[in-house]
Amino acid sequence: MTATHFPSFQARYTTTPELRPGADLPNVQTASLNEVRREDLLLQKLGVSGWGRLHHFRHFYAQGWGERGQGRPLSPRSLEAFFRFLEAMPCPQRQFPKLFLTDNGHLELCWQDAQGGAVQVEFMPSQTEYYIEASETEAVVPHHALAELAAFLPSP
Amino acid sequence: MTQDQFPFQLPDRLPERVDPCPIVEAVLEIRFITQESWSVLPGLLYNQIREKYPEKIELPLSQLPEDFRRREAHLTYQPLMQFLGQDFVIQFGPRVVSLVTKPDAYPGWQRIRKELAWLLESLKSAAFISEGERLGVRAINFFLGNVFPDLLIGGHVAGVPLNQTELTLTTAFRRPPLAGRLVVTNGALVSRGSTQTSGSVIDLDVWASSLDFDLFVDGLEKFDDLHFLSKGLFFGLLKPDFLLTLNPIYL
Repeated sequence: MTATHFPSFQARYTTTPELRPGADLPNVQTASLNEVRREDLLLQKLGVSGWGRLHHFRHFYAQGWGERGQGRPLSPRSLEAFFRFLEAMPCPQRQFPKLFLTDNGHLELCWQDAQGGAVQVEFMPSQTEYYIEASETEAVVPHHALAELAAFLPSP
Repeated sequence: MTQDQFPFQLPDRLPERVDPCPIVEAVLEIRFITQESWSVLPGLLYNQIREKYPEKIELPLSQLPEDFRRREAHLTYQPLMQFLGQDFVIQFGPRVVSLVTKPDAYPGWQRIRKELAWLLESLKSAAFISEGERLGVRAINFFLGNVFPDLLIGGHVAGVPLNQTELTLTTAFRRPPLAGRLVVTNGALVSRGSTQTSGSVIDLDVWASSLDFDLFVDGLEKFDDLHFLSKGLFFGLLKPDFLLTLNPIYL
């Protein structure tokens, strides 16, 4: 139902009291579609640090974040591309990739390959850019090729 | 895709209209991000829509401090204002704008589509949306009495149907690239002015996520897709005899 516990405007309907969830359990919420699977994915592939950083980026980084006040909020298209990439990315064998939010509101993943070279992936609204230090490769791929990119990049 | 992920049957042929129309409210929702602060957003939108939507109402949630609203995830997409027009209401918040039909006055998809096209042009001119996050179509259908015996969905305990108990079913589903949530309850209380009517509700919410639309390029066509899926899901839930009682008209 719409905002059962915190009505902000008149909902078109409600249910009889017997069918309402217990209001004495304010910390129990139903996760939105996909959310449980995605939280597992975050913990599995980015660890608790990555999980925590994304939570902050999503909920506390509004327009104007950062010291210079120029940071943009997290791009929804960047977030969706990031999750599609994460689904295809192999589980890290050496270290969890680090997660950043760029001033433009794009998510960026960084890790080191087996020889210590940097690998960076920036999820932009309409494409994804990657950089491999070892081969000095910098290129962009469309979002429909994220699974191929995950297979191509040196694994973390 | 397995049948478990999308277990619904979509009819080959859909009615153009039914009478009586069970839709008590339809909500066409656009979630977005912006680089503007909430303090200037109402003015930017109102400047574009005021001739058709002259009256505005601040909703109770707008009285809460912005910091608090931002930190409470369940408030993120709640509207803070309403703009009232002749046939529709526009609901507006820092991350959401919705076109809502008037109670018990569903005007048909073609009328809604025309208003949506106008609203999208107005939003484009207001130029505060930096990116669309989600497009949604929600239809709330009301029926007097217990609707479960007339539906192809229901609850069972050890094979015995839960037809006579109070029951709410909620299920989420995926039909790539779209997704949705269905709520069916036989314990609904629908507000009509100062009175409430009890009965059953079929509440269908379907949406497209950020990578699957470009608001000012194909937003209207995506709304068409969402409406088509929502309509198919609704009619696919009804048993044939029950559908006949709604006097379907096919073209």
